[in-house]
Amino acid sequence: MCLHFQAPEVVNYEPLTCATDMWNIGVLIYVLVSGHTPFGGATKLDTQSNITHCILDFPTDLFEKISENCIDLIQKLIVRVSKQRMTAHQSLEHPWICSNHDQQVNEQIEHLAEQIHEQNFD
Amino acid sequence: MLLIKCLPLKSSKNVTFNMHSMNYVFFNCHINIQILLHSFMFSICQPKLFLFLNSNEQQNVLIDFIILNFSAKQGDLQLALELEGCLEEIQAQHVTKQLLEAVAFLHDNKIVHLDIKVLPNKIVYHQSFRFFLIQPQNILLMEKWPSTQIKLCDFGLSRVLTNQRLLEMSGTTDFLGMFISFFSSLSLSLSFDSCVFIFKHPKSLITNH
Repeated sequence: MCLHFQAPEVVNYEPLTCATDMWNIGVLIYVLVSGHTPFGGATKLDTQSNITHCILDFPTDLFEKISENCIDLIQKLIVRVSKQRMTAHQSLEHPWICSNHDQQVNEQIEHLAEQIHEQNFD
Repeated sequence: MLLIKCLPLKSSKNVTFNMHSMNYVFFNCHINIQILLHSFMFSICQPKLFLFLNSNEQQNVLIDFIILNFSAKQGDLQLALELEGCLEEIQAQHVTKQLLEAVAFLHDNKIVHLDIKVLPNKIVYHQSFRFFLIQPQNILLMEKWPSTQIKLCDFGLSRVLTNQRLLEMSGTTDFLGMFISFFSSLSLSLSFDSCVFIFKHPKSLITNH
């Protein structure tokens, strides 16, 4: 398992459960939207200690454009105590996942079409 | 202990392309039979899972890989992240939703994947170019953005859960520990071995057909 994606229970040699996967998904969302790992340290030990202490921050320069729902989901997935993490089914019902993807895409397309229209006819 | 990664990006196209006529291919090797059976059942009913199984030398069962008949046309999520730095939030949402569906399915069937990951740019550039090529990640993209379908693959570290906890905990954590400490050298050599292995066999299977 990749060091940056290790859950605290992996670092501490505690029993693994389904919640371990949910931690990984939390980190994965963080990486996808920001391009950076949440717990990256200068050395392996730094990273591991960051993971164990679970200090999660959202730097404003990276998360300026990210919605609150997304950050909320990450915060609910990256939780030190594995039992308090959301399960896969719970997170499927999270507003960030539920919010209509097609609708957003359509809005974007409409916006683009408007822009092109303006450019062409101004 | 043997770690198998999915095929390298460039070559995976060729190999899977040749195998379009087949549903799956078995290779001779060892595998944890329990995971094999579970995952084989998934492959029939759950289209989001791409199976590329790992072997466990302690258990002498004669099957190692199952390769399904599709190719990841868009490479993997790693490549997308490489090209774009980070994804648009909508894209990330799209990927996450599918990933959660796949993971929910796995968890319902009492399997933990334990190796869901994507590395951000920075880390990958630390590695040599060759290492990056032989180190594709675990989430494959099937079609072009924005409607891409993802597939979760590489069940190398996956385990079957019993009583909601990992019973083979000691074994697994040792395994993980070793994997981490020898990460670069092991995965480099072994995945390279496995690639050669895969290249050799499909042809012979196809000619036999």
